[in-house]
Amino acid sequence: MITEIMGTMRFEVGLYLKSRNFWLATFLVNICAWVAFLLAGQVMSGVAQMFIPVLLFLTAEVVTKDKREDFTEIICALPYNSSFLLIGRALAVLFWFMFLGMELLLTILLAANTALPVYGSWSACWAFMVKYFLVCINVIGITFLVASMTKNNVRLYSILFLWWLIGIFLTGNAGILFPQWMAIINFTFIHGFGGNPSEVIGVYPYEKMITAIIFSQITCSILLFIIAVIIENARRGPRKSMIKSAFLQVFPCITMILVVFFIALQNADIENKGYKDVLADSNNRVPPAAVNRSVQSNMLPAAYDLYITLDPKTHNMMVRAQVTLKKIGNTSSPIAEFTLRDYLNVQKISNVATGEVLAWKQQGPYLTVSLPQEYLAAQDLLTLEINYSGTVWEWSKDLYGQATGIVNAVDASFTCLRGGHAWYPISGRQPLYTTTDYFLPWNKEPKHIEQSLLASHIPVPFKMTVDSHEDLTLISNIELADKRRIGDLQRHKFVSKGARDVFLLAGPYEHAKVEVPGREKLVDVYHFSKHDYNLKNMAYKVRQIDYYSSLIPRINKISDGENLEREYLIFEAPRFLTYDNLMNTSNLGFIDSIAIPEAIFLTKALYSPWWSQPAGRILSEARSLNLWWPNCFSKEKGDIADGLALYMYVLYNENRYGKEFYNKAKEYWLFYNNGSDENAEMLGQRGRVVQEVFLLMDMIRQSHLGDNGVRQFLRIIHASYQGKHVIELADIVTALESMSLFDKRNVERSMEDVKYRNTINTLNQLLTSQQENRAYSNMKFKLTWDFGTQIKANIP
Amino acid sequence: MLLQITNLMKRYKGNITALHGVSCSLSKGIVGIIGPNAAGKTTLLKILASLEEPTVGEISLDGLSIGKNKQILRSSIGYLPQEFGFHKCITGEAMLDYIAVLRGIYDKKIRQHAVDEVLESVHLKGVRQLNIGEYSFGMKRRLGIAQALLGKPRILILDEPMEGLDPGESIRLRGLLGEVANESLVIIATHSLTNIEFACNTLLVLRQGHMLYEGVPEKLTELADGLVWQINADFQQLEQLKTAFKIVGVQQKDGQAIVRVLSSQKPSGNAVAAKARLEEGYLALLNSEYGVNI
Repeated sequence: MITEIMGTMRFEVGLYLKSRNFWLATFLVNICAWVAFLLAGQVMSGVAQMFIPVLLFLTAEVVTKDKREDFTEIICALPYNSSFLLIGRALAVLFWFMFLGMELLLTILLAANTALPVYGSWSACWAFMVKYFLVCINVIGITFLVASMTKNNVRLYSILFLWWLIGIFLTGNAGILFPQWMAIINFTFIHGFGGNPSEVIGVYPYEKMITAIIFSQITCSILLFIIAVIIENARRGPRKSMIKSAFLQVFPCITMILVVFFIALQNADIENKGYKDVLADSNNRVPPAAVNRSVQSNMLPAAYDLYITLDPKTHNMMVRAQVTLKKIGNTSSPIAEFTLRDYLNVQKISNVATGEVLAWKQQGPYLTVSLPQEYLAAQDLLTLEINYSGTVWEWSKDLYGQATGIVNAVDASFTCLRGGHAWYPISGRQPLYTTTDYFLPWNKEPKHIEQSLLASHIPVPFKMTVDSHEDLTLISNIELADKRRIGDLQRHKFVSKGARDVFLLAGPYEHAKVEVPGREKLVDVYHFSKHDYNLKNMAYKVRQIDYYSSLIPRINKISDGENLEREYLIFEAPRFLTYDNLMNTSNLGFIDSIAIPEAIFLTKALYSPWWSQPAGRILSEARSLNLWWPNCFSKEKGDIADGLALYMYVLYNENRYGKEFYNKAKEYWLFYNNGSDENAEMLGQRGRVVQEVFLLMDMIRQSHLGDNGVRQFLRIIHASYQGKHVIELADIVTALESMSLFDKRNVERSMEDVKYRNTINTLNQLLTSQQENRAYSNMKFKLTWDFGTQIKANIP
Repeated sequence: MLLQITNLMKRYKGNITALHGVSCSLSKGIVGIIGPNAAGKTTLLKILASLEEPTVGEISLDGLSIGKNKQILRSSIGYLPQEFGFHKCITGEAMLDYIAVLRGIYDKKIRQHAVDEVLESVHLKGVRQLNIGEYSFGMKRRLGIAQALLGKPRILILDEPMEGLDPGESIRLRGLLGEVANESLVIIATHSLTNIEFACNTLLVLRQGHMLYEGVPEKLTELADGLVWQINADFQQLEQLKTAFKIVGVQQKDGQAIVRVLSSQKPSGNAVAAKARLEEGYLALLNSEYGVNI
């Protein structure tokens, strides 16, 4: 047996070494890897997936070569054992693939230690090899199975090609439209097991899930191979017993595959059960009409003081939130309303001043508290203590947050409480979701997609004390004032004079401070262990942000008219925290921070000429500009905020590269139309609204107000935007009027006045028509259909 | 050793019948299978090599049915298909070594010896380290024969083994097969009678899937006795003979043609009865108008 297997293996390996086709394929794999590594600048497991077509081709070459060389009749007449021959061949292919994988890895490691912009870490290498190995055994399993079922080469290659296409389709965003079990049977492509080491090394969503995936993938591939062996044995055996014996042997294999599949499904179901329960509970408790209706509170928060006990292992937290409220005007309502996520259960609410326990009612994401009589009569300020607890669910109803894949779960090492996601009581009833209907081509029933909205509050003094038994790094958009260990407890204290939409992220981070020449303050950067290559590049980011801050200062207006400068931090975010589809930056809830995806944080090529991917550049630029315009560059066709963000970007580049950049940009936008080519320098095509905004900004710049006018305009609009999270045309008109550039009541119209009037009219028309297309384009953009599946949005 | 073929029938898709109830008993020695194109020769060999399943019928080796014991048959045969190829980027020796492994010769020394022996026997020892891609057609043919000879199989099945061989190699091969046939059953399918005329002990004649003859070559020759005529003819007469009779041979001599004619009656006045040859017996068998009874 061993001699036959080894003899076959030796012979096959010898064949590959001397075969021109195999060296050509090896060359192609290397080229493919090099292109990926140099463009992405890192060793990533996602690259392994790119080799699937080549690996499939190579394996198919192995199983079809006898036929191609007319060797079939000679070999089939020999008295070998089919099992040993196939095992020998499969091992030879695996050996060759592993050799190829090691060669790639060593080459890349070598490259990583040169001036080439390739980054390599052990975790990334390990992730790459794990993924590569799984891809190899899956490819071998499926190819041998198909080859045993059909002896027609054309049919074999067609089936393998189809299998590859289906894999791509299911792996793409369209995959989320299918039931979860589709992801489990989706060999090789493995949902969520993408490009970044965090997904493989320790910090993968769901503890033990990665082991389960690897186990089920290997088991299923081996079983596919065993079925192939059984079929081949049956072919060479006596015909009469062929069907009987094949059935008797294949049946247990299929049963085993079903059992593995069932176990994986159960596993995934158990993991998702909590999420589903929460969702179901939430849907039952919340009257649908209440979700989308925003009700302004008659009170505003004046201060927050949170005491949080966090258990990152179970994701449980207990919170004692002291919320100080301030009445608005003279009208007094007997109740105060808050928005609080429905997976957090309130236990007790009391008046801090008197200790009186107050009556309250929690209904869905809304909390109603009966206020004490004495407060209604006299006091201006009231401090409530709200005790609540619950499991921190990362799941959201956002499209990318749905539990259809195994992406976007919280790992044991991470706890993420997003800013604006109402994980602490937010004053008033604020909608948490917006719903969009769409139709699938094969279904007449509309499907709903819910997207999260930010529940915001005004800047207020904010204190947060977090206790945990785990040694974790905590990141927040307010300043860490103190960190100490009390016994086995780790305590973090965060304080801010004026903070809004606070987030808290606990994870296995290392902290660094980036020093920028000529700048007093250091910028906090949080990164995973050893992912420090791009730290020095962060200075570039800081300088860029400083420039933008000169256009629109980042300040919070706090009480007594005092302005507080808003700091920011930079952190490395794993994909499952950012739903990273490169462009999808909206509503992540990381306020006053730049969440740079791990894939980019890792890359050496981020600021090198190799980094030519427009999407990557857009992402990088968008992350900075998100500090001012949180949703910018997240839509296919830009809106007013996108136009303003882009103009700021153009001004920055003018400042960096000279006037020529601005002139080129202006020329591009002057002649821009819907059919214009994408322009990488303009961060891609961003639509007619962006064009009008750009030209309007240029008009202001060319006016007597000049650059000061631009700054003034941006600041007015941004101030309005901060309160509403949306820019309306009226805001532009108001800003222009306040700058005396335009008077809508003026009958005597100057040339300049006519220009502004025309721009506003055009913008009005564009925005009206864009409203109709918004849902469609958002859907189209977010789903990035792999095969152009049409979705028609239904505007509610 | 006795290879018994009983009532073998092979029907392909589209109701094409390649073999109609073929039965025969074969033992040690050289067996030649001859017949025109599409006679079923290759089909019979493929069934014997267990590459195809018969629709009906049975084959047994020393009383053991091989339908249920294919591996026993496979380990007893060496097979050379009519059309075949090898992996071009490997040396002849490596190829044979691999085939020897698949044949069950696991001991390295024995395998090496076996490979050397067959390479020597087909006169390829000098090019053993050359890649097969560099072999000529004849050399590839000889390598094919070598792989069939590996492990000294009890049954050697060769489909058109002489095709592409030069006369010298053909003669060498005939001698080799003669030696092998002392201990084994050698089954050779061919179009050319001259290749097997002097070597085979038994002849099987197939036509359209039916076995017309099973016996020694001499008996097949005898089928044409009294049917072969020799005529000295000029050009004009030759043309007339061609239209009227089955010409089996023409030889030029002194400006005249010596014509051999197959006919149940005397074709012309100057025709003289001639001694029949093997191919004339074969032709007489295939052409039923001569009234040959077997």
